[in-house]
Amino acid sequence: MNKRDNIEEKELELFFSEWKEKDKRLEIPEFKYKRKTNSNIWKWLPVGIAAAFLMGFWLMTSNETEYALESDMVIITLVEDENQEQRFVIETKSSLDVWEAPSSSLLTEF
Amino acid sequence: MKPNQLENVIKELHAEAYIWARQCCNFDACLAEDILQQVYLKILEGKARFNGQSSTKTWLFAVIRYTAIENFKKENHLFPLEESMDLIIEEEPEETVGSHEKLIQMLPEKQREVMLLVFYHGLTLEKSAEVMGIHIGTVRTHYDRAKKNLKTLILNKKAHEQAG
Repeated sequence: MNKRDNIEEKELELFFSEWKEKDKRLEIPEFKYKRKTNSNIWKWLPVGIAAAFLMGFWLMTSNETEYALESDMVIITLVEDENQEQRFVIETKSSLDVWEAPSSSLLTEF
Repeated sequence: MKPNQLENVIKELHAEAYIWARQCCNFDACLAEDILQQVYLKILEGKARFNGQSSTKTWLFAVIRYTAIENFKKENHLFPLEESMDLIIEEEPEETVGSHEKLIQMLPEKQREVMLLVFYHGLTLEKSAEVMGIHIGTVRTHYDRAKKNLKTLILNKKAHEQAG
């Protein structure tokens, strides 16, 4: 390396040392060396499980729901007692075990 | 190297790594911070692995440089100067001549990189070649041209200051 090269190098070294000195004032950002985890997903996991259980419970119980009739049914029956006397028996029911067509009596009695 | 050891070494190199990232991003501080985060994420996810063939600093600097170039290409910000293109030194306006950063930005890309790696970060030409991913002979050529060009720029700056 000749004298000229040495001067050239020194010139450059001076330039860079001045620059480095100036850069000491640079604001270095915080060291953030960590994996970006999607922690929100894990936070919501128990809530999701609970919601699924609730939904399942609701679906299971909703099948067993009994629907009440809007009004009770009144059944008027003509009954013949042991004295051969006929009388009406009136009763109310919320359901009907056997259903007979209202016109079926016409076939048997008349 | 174990993950904890690597983390400690990277922590020690953080300030230098940030400055290098900033230099790779045309001195854009926000972009440099973003690039450095991408680099750390690459290391954590194992996309960038340290195989121990070079020093940690050389490897980290190479990853930063590669990530910055990748990002510039993605964003279409890259306008590289031709490698063979030599510097045309012209009279610069006052505000351009003033700062070190502006002065180095006047060099072609590869010359700028080799100057920064050797003179600013204290790497050898061999290590600079590793960071830049080019042959040592090519690095030497860039280095010689860069020294001449930068010296001329510095002299121009001084002459300008004296005249002013």
